[in-house]
Amino acid sequence: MDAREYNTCVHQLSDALFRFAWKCTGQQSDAHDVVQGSFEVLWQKKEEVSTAKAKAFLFQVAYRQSIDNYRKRSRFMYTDAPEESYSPVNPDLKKVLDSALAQLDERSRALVLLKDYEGYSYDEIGQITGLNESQVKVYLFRARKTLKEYLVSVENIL
Amino acid sequence: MTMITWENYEKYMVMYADGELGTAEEQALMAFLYENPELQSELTAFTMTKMIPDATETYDRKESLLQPVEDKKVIVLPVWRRYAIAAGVALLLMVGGARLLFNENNVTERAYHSVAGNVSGSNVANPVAVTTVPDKNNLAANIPAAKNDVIPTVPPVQADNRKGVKTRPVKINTAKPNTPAIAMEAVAMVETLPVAEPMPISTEQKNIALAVTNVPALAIQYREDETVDEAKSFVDMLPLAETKKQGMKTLAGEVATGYGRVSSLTQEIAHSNVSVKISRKKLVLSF
Repeated sequence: MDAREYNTCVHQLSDALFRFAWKCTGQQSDAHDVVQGSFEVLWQKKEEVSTAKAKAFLFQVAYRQSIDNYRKRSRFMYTDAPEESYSPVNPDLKKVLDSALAQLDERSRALVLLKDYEGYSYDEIGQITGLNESQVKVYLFRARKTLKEYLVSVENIL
Repeated sequence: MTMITWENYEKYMVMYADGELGTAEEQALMAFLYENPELQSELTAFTMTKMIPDATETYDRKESLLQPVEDKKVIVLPVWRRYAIAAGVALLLMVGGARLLFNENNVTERAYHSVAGNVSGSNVANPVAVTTVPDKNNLAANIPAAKNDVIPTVPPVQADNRKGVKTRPVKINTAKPNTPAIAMEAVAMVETLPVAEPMPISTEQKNIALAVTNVPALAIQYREDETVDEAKSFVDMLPLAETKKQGMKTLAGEVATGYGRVSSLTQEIAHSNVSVKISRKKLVLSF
């Protein structure tokens, strides 16, 4: 990968990586750090990473950095969830989903985002996160059940 | 055959929501829901857990991530080519400089052309033509014919014709008409020869005599065309004959003009976006 291809990756992938990192960390400032760090690693490894593999590589680095940041910082607070989790006056599904996402642990959150935002298969998610396919299935199953129960409970409140 | 039961249906619903079910598994799930329609709302709830990316959330610091793109192509040549390329560049500059110094408008080449043209031309028999400027077209036609004419040595001019004219034996090789060596010999003649009156010349000496008497007149004419600065210079103060001073000035003017052209050529190379860098082990051409 040369500089021109790297810059193309910046233009095409930085937005998606930023959204992923933001939802993973729950902090916009942390997401900026994760994106910057991920592209720095990509630039350092540009001789080894082809353009076709760049996206998976970036999400792999971003996933690890997001998890590491969370584990190193005991101060972690997921602030992306809206303060008012849900209100009949403001029935915004996106806010409800953001609140539901905040109920998950960092790993399950990352798996859900890789699946829903980027459309990766179980196998691809396993390659990015270092988990095997069965583990991915289990984590995602638990995450979906948690999210569904949250949504159902909100509906019950309604 | 996929068996969906009350114990495992959630797993298949999650896989359905994730788009991971095969055709047979999906049909089995739909059959199970057909038999248990009360679970349809649960499947809908699972499908609603899919996160939707917000396209308005963009990374606004892309510029800080971009790397400079080098447009220049860099060719790194092997070590053994280094000296060959360097010698070639030096030779090119020398030849180019010499050609600029002695171009076709140069007085020295005019002198040569007069020699070559008259040696083989039809004007040989007419000594009066020596004081006129030779026709360029005629010269162009005559030069190739003169290539094989070699005048080995100029015999001294007869005593009654040598008054006011200094000649010396000059070997002129006309096989390479445009080489600087020939031009330099012509310069030597310009330096040493004063203006000569048309005079009768013996048949065997007439070719060289033509050259000898023709050069100073051409040199003076060139000076007038170029409008050389007539301000009093160091040369004017030298105790030399006026003709020699004029010759020196003409030569100095030509050298200055040639130097200026070489300098402009060097600047053009410098501004042509081509750089040559010679390191210890590599010769790097950037363009």
